[in-house]
Amino acid sequence: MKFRRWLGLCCAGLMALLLTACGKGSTPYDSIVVNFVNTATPSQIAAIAKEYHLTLRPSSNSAFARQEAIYLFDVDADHLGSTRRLVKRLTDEPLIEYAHPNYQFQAAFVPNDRLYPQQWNLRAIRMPEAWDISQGEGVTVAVVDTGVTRVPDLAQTQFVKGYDFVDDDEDPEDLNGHGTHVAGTIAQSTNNVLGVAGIAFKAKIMPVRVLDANGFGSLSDVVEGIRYAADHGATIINLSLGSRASAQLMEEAVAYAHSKGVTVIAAAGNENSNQVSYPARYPHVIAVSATGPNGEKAPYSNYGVGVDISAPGGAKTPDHPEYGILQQTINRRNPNEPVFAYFQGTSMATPHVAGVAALIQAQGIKDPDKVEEVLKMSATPVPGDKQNFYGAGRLDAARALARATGRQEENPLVLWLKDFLQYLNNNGYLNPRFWFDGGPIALVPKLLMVVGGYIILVLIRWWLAPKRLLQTVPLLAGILLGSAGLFPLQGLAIVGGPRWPFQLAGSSLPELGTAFAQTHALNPLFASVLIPGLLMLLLLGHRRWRWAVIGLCIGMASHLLLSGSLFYEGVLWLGSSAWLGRSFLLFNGLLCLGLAYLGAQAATESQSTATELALRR
Amino acid sequence: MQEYSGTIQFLDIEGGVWVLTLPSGEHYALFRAPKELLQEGLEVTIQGQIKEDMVTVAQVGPVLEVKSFRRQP
Repeated sequence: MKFRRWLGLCCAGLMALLLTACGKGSTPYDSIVVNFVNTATPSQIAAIAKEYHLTLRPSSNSAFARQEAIYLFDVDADHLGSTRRLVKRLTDEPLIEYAHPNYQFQAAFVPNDRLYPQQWNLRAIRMPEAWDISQGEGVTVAVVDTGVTRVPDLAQTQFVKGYDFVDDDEDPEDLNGHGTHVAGTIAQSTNNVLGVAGIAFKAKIMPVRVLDANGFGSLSDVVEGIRYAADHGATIINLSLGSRASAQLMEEAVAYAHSKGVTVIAAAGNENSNQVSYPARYPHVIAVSATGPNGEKAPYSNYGVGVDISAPGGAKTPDHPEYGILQQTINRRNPNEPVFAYFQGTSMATPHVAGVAALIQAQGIKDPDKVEEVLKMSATPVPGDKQNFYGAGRLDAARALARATGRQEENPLVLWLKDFLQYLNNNGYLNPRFWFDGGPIALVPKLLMVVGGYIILVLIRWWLAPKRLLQTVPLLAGILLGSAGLFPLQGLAIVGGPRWPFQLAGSSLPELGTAFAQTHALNPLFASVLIPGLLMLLLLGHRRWRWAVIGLCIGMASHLLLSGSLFYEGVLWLGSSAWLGRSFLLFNGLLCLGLAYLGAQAATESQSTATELALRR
Repeated sequence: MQEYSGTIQFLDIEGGVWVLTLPSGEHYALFRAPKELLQEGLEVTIQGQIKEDMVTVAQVGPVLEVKSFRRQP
């Protein structure tokens, strides 16, 4: 009984969640627009205003507004419920064409920098929507790199004191161009007409030079640079650098930074290999792989174990240099000359994540584990990413910021449920570094199948049976097997071990026929009334098992009806005609439904009879 | 000291990096390379040393410190 109530609550919660996920949050308004018919005279308008106790004002002084007789009146946010009723009453007035809330639409922030249209990468991570929420105020990002030169398009960007560990002085000028480019992606002076935009352009840059004019550096300088940044107030460290060899000093340095509350982000490397570089590969470091303008992994980018997230790093071709990432930097041959240059590399992807991390921190989320969680949970997962090209998915600044803002406002229970849903959806079910293999499962169809099964159960119970007669546990087990199976198991695998036990355990009965095939199509022998029909004939006389079969029929009815309608993915052997396949599934779904009804009727009757007999004795 | 034979290339990655590309396709980032070595398409044999403790922006492969080189016939 408790279990059934628990399941019911879960289903109700999930349904509410699905519904709210579909709708957007309400748009704010502080006034109501009232459009009178054009023939309404000023005295008639005044009479209506008096009747409803409203202070009407013309919506604007434009001739159009006067001619159209459009008026506004202010409402305060505390009386929105009564406002809705008032709007309805006003709309019913013959002299009023319509009345509706005066929604405040906000255009997303689009910077005026001349070369902004070339920055496909910023649109790819949905910066305009994110900039509406934050621009990185008050956050310090250390660029531990080849130094940073204050080129003209970094003139309005705030800097804090840095250090040059290559020359051991306090002037971390860039003699290579790499560090300046990276700093530009994070905080290029933005909305200054000149040049290009940066992601967290109100954040402060801490330039820390650890690599020389050719982009080489010693491990010890990098380690010192990381520790310097962590000790001098940086809350984000961007490491667009790497080494093939692991070194304990480096691992300790990033762990030290993490322990001081610093979010450390590093480039996965550019060898197109599944060996992610160090320090990206260490724990407490967010490792970034690179994507091109089409969102696919860039040809050079490393991938595999350790990659946490992907971001635009560019994928230039001989014909299309503009598929790289554009920022202002210095000319390597003449470090005094500023140039706008298209670079590509996982080093370019890394500052995208660092910039978005700065925006998240500006919203008050400082703990590096929380920042990482927001980045990953808000990333767009890439289905079928078997080799972990993309980690949790593609960076999405808009969703990250919505999430970062939502964290502080939303009810913890709703947050937990949303987290859980996204958690499953991202298929980061356990730590992906060790467990993750295989694409995400179509979660929504599965959940709907479970919910659908539950709804059918409720309906059948409502039609038929006194609750106490239903054998709950076998019934629910049957529903689960028929509708969705233990589907989260499908995403699991033990490294080096076989996947088939998980696929088998994770499949519902209709899917069993093709559980091992590389197809989502259903096998008609399994996805039909055949098996539940046979089982019903065999087990109808059994007191407990018949309820499992009835549950199976209910679950399968839900699965087949939904597969035949909303989530059709084909039926084997029925040719390419979707019409035939859909009809087959829907027809069998209805048969299962009928069978469940008849089975439940027979079972409750025999049980009632048995109970009566027992009572008479 | 070991010898490494391959082709000199300039890769347009991270702002540009000179590498020795082996016939297997593997890249070695060239550290302390003399100017005469840095010519696109040059077939060479390099005597040098892999620097395990170097950190790079290029991250294209092992770092090879060039001690000397000779053109391949």
